[in-house]
This record gives sequence, C-alpha cells and structure tokens, in this order.
Amino acid sequence: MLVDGLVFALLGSALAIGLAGIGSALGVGIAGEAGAGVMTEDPGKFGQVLLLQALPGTQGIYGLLAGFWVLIKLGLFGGTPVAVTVAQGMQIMFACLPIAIVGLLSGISQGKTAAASIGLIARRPEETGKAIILPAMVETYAVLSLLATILLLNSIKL
Amino acid sequence: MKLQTIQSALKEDTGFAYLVGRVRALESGILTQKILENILKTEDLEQALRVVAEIPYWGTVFQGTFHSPQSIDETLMGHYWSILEDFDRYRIATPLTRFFILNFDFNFLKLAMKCHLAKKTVEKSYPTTLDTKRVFRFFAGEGREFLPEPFEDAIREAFSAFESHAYNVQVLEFVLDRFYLQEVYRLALKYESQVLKNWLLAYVAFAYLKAVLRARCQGGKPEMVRLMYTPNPLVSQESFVSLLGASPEKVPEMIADLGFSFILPAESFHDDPYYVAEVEKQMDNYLIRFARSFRSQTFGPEPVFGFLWAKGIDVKNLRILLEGKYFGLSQEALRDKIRECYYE
Repeated sequence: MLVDGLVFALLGSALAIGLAGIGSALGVGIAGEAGAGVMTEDPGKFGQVLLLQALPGTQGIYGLLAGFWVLIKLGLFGGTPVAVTVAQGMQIMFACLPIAIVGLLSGISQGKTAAASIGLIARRPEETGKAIILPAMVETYAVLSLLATILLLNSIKL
Repeated sequence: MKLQTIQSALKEDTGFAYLVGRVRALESGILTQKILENILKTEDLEQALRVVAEIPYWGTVFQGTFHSPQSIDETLMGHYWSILEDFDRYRIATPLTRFFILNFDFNFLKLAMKCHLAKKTVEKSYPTTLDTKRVFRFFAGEGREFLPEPFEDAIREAFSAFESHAYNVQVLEFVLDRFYLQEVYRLALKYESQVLKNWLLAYVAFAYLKAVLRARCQGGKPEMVRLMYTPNPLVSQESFVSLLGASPEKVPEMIADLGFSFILPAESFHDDPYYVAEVEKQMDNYLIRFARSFRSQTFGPEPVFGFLWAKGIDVKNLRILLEGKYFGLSQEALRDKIRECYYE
C-alpha cells in the first residue's frame, strides 16, 4: 500500500516538473527563433531579446518548485519516506495538475507572445516596456496555478 | 490526438518565427509616405540618394554606383534579388520566394530568347536562377541539355508559336506570360494560407486585365494576345476575349461586371498608355492595401510574403523617383506615379 500511494505522488511530481518544463522549453524556443531572426539583422537588440526570451522559462521553474514541494512533503529528501495511502497519493497527483497543465500551455502561449513582442521591439525599440508587459500578463496564470498547487498540497494531511 | 493537434498548431504557427523576426527588423527599412515625400522634395538625384542612404538597410546600396538610370535600375534590381536569394535559402520560405523569383526567371527567358533570335548573347548579368549558358545551349537544341519545369515546355511552345505567327517577337512574350501566370496560379492553389491564395488570384486576374488593356493600346492582334490566356476562376476566356475586342465605352462596364471596377481611375476610359499606367498603379495600390493586413499576423508566411512584396513596391517607387530626379521631372509628375507604401 505504501508503495502504491508513493507511485501516484511521484507521478504528480514528475508531471509538474515535466509538463511545465516542456511548456517552458517550447516557449523559450519559439521566442528564441524570433529573437535570432531579429538579431540576424540587428545584433544590438540582444539585451532586449534575451529578456523577452527568458520570460517563458519561469513555468519550468514553477513546475520544479511544485515537484520539490511534493518530494519534501513525502520526506524523500530526508531519507525517511512518509507512509502514503493510494488516496493520499492520488490527492497529491491531482494537486500537481494545475501547474503541470497550465505550465505546459501558458509556457507555449507566453513564448508566442514573447515572439510577437520581439517583433514589436525590432520595429519600435522605444516600446520595450510595453513589449515586456504583454507576455508578462500570461505569467499571471502560471503564478495562479502554482499557488493553487501549493494550496492544494498544503491541504493534504499525511 | 490532442498532442498531434498541439504539435501541428505549433508547427504551423511558429515555423516562420525566425523569418518573421528577421522581417520585423528589416521592416524598419521599408519606405513610408514620409520618406517618399522627403525624396520628392530633393532638388536632384544627388540629394535624393543622400536621403535614401539615411534609410535603415539602404545605407550602402547605392555606394559606388554610377548616377545613371541604367545603373540605378541594376542596383535596385540587384538589391531586391539579394533579399530574395537570402530568403530563398530557407526551405520553409521557398514556396513564397518562388512567386517572386519566377518573375525574374521568366523575364530573363524573354530577354534571352530575344537575344538568341538576334544571334546575340545576354551582355549583362541578369538576376535569375537559370544558368545562362545552359539556357543558350538548350535554345541551340543540344539534346543532352535540360532545364527545370516549366521552362523547357515554355521555351519549346514559345518558339513553336513564334514560327507559326509570322516570326512576331511579341508572341514569345505572350506564351512565356501564360506559363508564368500558370505557375503563379498553381502556387496559389498550393498555398495553405487562404489570404495568400486570394492575394495571388487577384494578382493573376490583374495580370490578365493589364495585358488586355495594354494590347488594346498597342493594337495587339487578339489571336496573339489569346496565347497568354490560361483558365482561371476570376477572368474567364470569354471575358478575356470580349474585352480585347469591345468598344472603349463598354470596357469599364465589363471590368465592373468582373468585380474589378475599383482599378479604374476616375477619368473616363480611353485606350491610352497613360490611362493603362494609371490602372496599373491602382492595381499595385490595391495589392499593397491587401498585403497590409499581413503585417498584423504574428506568425505564419503572411508577414514574410507581405515584406517581400513591399520591398518590390519600394524598388518600383525608388526607380520612379530616382530616375525622375535624374531626368529633372517635377514633384507633381513624380507624385502621380508613385505607389502607396506598405507602412503608411
């Protein structure tokens, strides 16, 4: 029983880290392609492009944070795992889903918005501030999903 | 299933991310109405070239060139060709650049065929993807020589029509134009983007109307002009033929029936080269206005296509302005000729 519950809990942790990481990787990749295009013509925009490219990378960090939270909760870092029932393991897994799903999709969406913003600064460098705000808006939902995951994890009694 | 949907959406949307990024940077070098006005205000070619040199990405284009119409033309064409070649290197952009490159290739073929008939060689290098030596060997009938499709068939058919139409050189142009427009039409059908498809269909329809109006002015024989026609949904063969022979009073009505009344200038229709030039300007303006909607697309082929078309219009406008300055034409005369810009 102990092993079964842990399997679900670890699956939750893996989903949070994996899916959010994939979202970030795709998002950073999309923004990076657009950024490379701009820098082919105007290498001087490296600083602004880098900032915008990095924005979709945060989902991966949030996913990692949620995943580690689960591992700490399970006592895996201390070397003495907590006994987890199947029900508790599934609760942990479902608690991880907000950041896993939202991290994946918001990472991609933020990457696209960041790519569009990179296009904006290529034509209008004076609008860099506004260009950063647009992809940052997508970040809100990744933060909210991380918050939901943390609150859900904290509400599970082991 | 859902993962596939996400994957295809990603590929479709962001496949052009790099090129769109480049285009966004290069768009700062696209001419605007304000820049054109600044060039118009200059007193001579020297001053005009100084204004051009201040536009991003145009700084060095005219450096070290002679100040003559031929040199200006060659420089502008070379500049445009280098951009097309650059974008053509990216496999994803090849279907887009093909439309622009086809025009250069068919123009080169027209020139090469005329030179071949006059037993001359093409003296100056002309931008094309075709190898000049191979083209001339093909003309000479070397059995082992081959050219890519559709050029082989176009050349064979053009020479055959040339012989059957009393060796009239115009026939060559009509046949090659047919093959060119056929290719553009095929490209339009291949494009997944509906807006690009519609844009290309409008381009083909305009090409036919332009050809008909020009033929009317030049007194072209209908049986020869018909050689350029290829079936398309916007201009039927019946309309094409009847426009060629219609009285000038009926032409505007017929064009309106086809749905293209907006290409006709305000003045009443008359078979005159200046009138046709005005119609061509209206067509170019319509196409650039259509292409302006591509600017707001974040991903996909549209911004790249729009930029390449805008660059072509810039080249056309600069040719008008710089050659106009060289010949000392008035501001008003030049203003009447220039096309609308991609960015207002």
